[in-house]
This record gives sequence, C-alpha cells and structure tokens, in this order.
Amino acid sequence: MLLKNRIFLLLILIIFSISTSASAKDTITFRCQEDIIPNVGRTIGADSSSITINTVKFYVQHLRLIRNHEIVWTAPSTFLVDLSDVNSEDISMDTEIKEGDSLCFILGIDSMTCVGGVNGGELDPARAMYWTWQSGYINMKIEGNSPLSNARNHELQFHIGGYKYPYATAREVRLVVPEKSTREVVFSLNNLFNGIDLSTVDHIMSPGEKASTIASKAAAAFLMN
Amino acid sequence: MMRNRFLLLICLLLFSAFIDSEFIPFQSPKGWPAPLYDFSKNPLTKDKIALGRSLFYDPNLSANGTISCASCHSPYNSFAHTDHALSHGINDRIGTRNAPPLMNLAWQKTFMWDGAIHHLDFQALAPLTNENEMGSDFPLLISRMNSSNVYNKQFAAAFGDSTVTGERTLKAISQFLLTLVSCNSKYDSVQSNLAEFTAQEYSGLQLFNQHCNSCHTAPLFSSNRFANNGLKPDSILNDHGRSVISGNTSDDYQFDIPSLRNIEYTSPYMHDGRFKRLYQVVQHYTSGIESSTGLSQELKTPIHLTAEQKTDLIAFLLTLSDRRFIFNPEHSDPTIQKLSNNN
Repeated sequence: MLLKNRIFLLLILIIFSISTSASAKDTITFRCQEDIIPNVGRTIGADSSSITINTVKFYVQHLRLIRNHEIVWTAPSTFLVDLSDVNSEDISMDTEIKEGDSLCFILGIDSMTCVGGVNGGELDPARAMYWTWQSGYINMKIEGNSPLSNARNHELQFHIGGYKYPYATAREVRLVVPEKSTREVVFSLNNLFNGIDLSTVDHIMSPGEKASTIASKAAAAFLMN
Repeated sequence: MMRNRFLLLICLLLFSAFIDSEFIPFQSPKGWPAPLYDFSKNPLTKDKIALGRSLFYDPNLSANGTISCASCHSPYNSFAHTDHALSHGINDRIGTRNAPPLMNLAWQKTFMWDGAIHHLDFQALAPLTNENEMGSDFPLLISRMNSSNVYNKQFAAAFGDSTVTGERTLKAISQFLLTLVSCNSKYDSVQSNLAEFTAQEYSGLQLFNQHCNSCHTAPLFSSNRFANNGLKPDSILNDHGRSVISGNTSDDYQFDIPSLRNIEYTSPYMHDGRFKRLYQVVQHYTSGIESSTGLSQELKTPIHLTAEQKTDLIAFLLTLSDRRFIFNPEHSDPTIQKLSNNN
C-alpha cells in the first residue's frame, strides 16, 4: 500500500516536471532602452529640450515566432506591456528562439477585435486602455513632460488609438532575432521622439493624422537584442 | 429504493438549478428585421439581466452616489428624461445633449447622437465616466464594486464567481438594455389586425409615409443613419455632431435619426432638447428648416401641411405609444419593487 502511494507520488512529480519544462523553453522580455525608473521616469536629452517620460504602456497582440516563413509559436493571449512596471512578467514560450527567427506582433489592437463587443482579461476596459467618449482601444499610452511642451505643467500625453481608415493605428512589428540574442524586445524613447516637434504636439487623445504618425514612429522604435 | 428516490431528488434539484440560469432566447417581434446585436457573444440569462437591472438603477455607480443611469433614463419616459433639454449629472452639472430614450437597442447600429459608440457593450462607459454625467473613474468603480458584498453575490449568481470585472459589468448592463423591447403600440396591434386606426390616425399614416418614413422607417421608425435636419445650430453649444467623430466636414451638424416609437413620452425633442411639444417638431419640419448645403436631401423640398394635416400626423405618431412597455414592472427599479412587495 505504501509502495503504491510512493509510485503514485513519483508519477505526479514526473508529470509535473514534464509540464513545467514544456511550458517554458524560452522567455521574452519587453523593456525600455532608456530604463524608466518607477515614480521618477526617465529623462532623455538635455536642459531646455529634455523629455521626461514616466509612462509607456502598449498592447502586444498576435505575438508569434516565425521560422522559415512558418509560424512556430503563437502567444495564447494579448499582452498589455507596461515598461514602467518593474514587476511586469516575462512572456514564456514553449518553443526555443533561434537566431534568424522573426518575432512578430501587432503594436495595438487590430480592427477585427475593435469592432466586436467588450472583452475581458487584458482587454477589459477597466484596464484604462479603452476610450470612453468614443469606441476604441488606446493602443499605446506615453506620458511625461518636457520644457518644450506648451501644455499645462509642460505635460506630454500621447494616447494613441483609432482603428478606422485612414487613421488606423495598429502597426505590425517584425523583429529579426540577432546572434546571441538576450531575448529582449527593446523600445527606444530616443528613436520615438526623434523628429517630433513637441512644441506643436503635446497632447494626442483622439484618432487622426497625428496619432497615425506617432503609431508608425513607435512601431519603428522597437529592436531586438 | 429509498436511495433511488434520494438520487432522483438530487437530479431534480440539479435540473431546477440548471433551469434557473437557463438562457433566455431573444425574441424578435414578428415582421422586424434580424437584430444587429450578436447574442452568441453575450447570451441572455435571468441572473445577468437582473444584475444589469440593479446596475442600471444604482446611483452608487456615480462618483458621489447621487446619479444612476435611470436618473436620465426613466422607464416612465421610455427611458428618456422629461423636462430636461440637456442631460443632468452629478453636482447639478449639465451636459451638452438630450438623453435619448432607450428601447429596441438590439437593432441599433451605433449609439449616441453622433454615433461615437459602435457597440452596445461599450455604451455605458461614456455616461459612467463623463464628468457632466456620472463622473466615475471606471477602473476605480470596478474595484469599489469588488468590495461590495451585494455585488459579489449578484456577480456570483450571474457569472459563476464573485469577481466584478469591467467586461462582466458592461455585459450585464447590455443584457438589461436588450430586454427593453417596445413592440406593443397601437400601431403594432393594427399591423397584427388586432386594432384599427381611426380615420384621423389613418390620414396621419398617409402623411407619415409620404413625408417621414424615408428616414424614420417602420417598423423601428429609425434608419440607423445620421442627418442634418435643418436645425439652426445652437450658438452656445456649438455642437457639430457626427463630423467630430467621423472627421468628415460633410457630416457637419448631422445627428442620429432617432426612433419615433413612444415619442409621446420622450419630450423634449431633438439632440439639444429644444422643442417641448410634438406640435413644435411638426412646425419645424414644415416651416422651420434652416437651409444649408449639408441639409438632408429628404428635406430640401419643403413639406407643406395644413393645420388639420398636422393634427392628423400627430394623431398617428401617438399610435406609436406602448403603454405596456412604459409600465412593464420588469423594467422598473428593482429596489422599489421589492419595497412594494413587502407592503
């Protein structure tokens, strides 16, 4: 009887170890190239043209790994990535990432999801990433301040969204995994703000041309280490 | 034998519990188009509808506990707001538009006077959070509701566990709103050959078909479109309507074409509630149209009606009143109903 119990325990242990090893063969980490310190933010640039950013949040949808034109891994859900949250978890994969693979995702929420009804989990409007005055997800929130901003308290507030033609803001991002990759998807604030005139654009809170431009710049500000 | 009976009893109990949370099929009135709401994503159940009804009547959903959805959407006005041209929110704040009636929402494509909301599930977010209406912070509201025993119980009954989420809250509100179907007016009885129009109403129907039905199309008496109906823009509100949402200047001063069902109960009229009486509305269409390039095509040819014809038309519009809908006890404040049951 005792032996039977032990065998049973052993069996459970074996099953458990198999299942855990199968669920985490690799991980992906999203981070900001210019680390954002919680409650402080990160200042880029100097003096009168400096930019301090304390919030970078965005949706990552349809995250997938492509090898030789074939999808070898698809994330089970949509992620809400918060680059100012030190506790945000890495994304586990049951596939190993290899050099030359492409990591692809949609930065934002695609229009198919947008036109449907309310969703739960990371897509719940209680995550404060959904507009209330008109329908649509906020694909990306970037907030901070800069002496360049003419807004109250020199604020910067970019809530990038909109899913309708011609100002749809969801962007496909495709990153090639480099040699000796650290599995880090890095977002560069310097690249994002390079070329944006903050004296004329300090707030974006609705769909339109400005939101569309920032969305494209944001998608191009990712790179894989 | 005893044991068998016990088993049978358990089976029966389980079965009745199952019946209790059974899905309620949505019934489309005869002759109506198919509803636009996708019920497969949010199937109606008794407990979810009951939860949505509680939420609808609960002033605690507002920032200071004074304003519920029903404050501006009263069942006795077909869920519009009598005597209030513009919506009235917390701290006596006044909004910029008239609170529209709520009915037959399963057939509505977009919501709000400017169509800003594209799906019923997201509609409640706007008044819940607008500073001139209920003024709540949605994430904060959801966490507050999560520490309410009453809601924990109701969410458990409706969704299987007690967690309050934004998704569940909005789906439950949608469920209650979807049950607000008005299809029992005299007009409907006439369609089913259960009643007859008077000569005056019949004359009004003829005029209606000639001048109004192309936009306010039966049986819903709406057409899910937007139009500039020739109202002189209010210089203080300066409301551009649909164009703010669509970004097209050609949509300037266009507003949702509302249903005319229950119009007897939904005064004041128009997006800014400028007309108190139905007669003024008819006057507007016959002699008040402000001409502009954006004016609705249907209104470019003037409508001429004699005084008698105007009265006939109004007589027809009153046949769209649905008293069963207005006084349906399943639509009213559940807390008030409970009190009256105790007496």
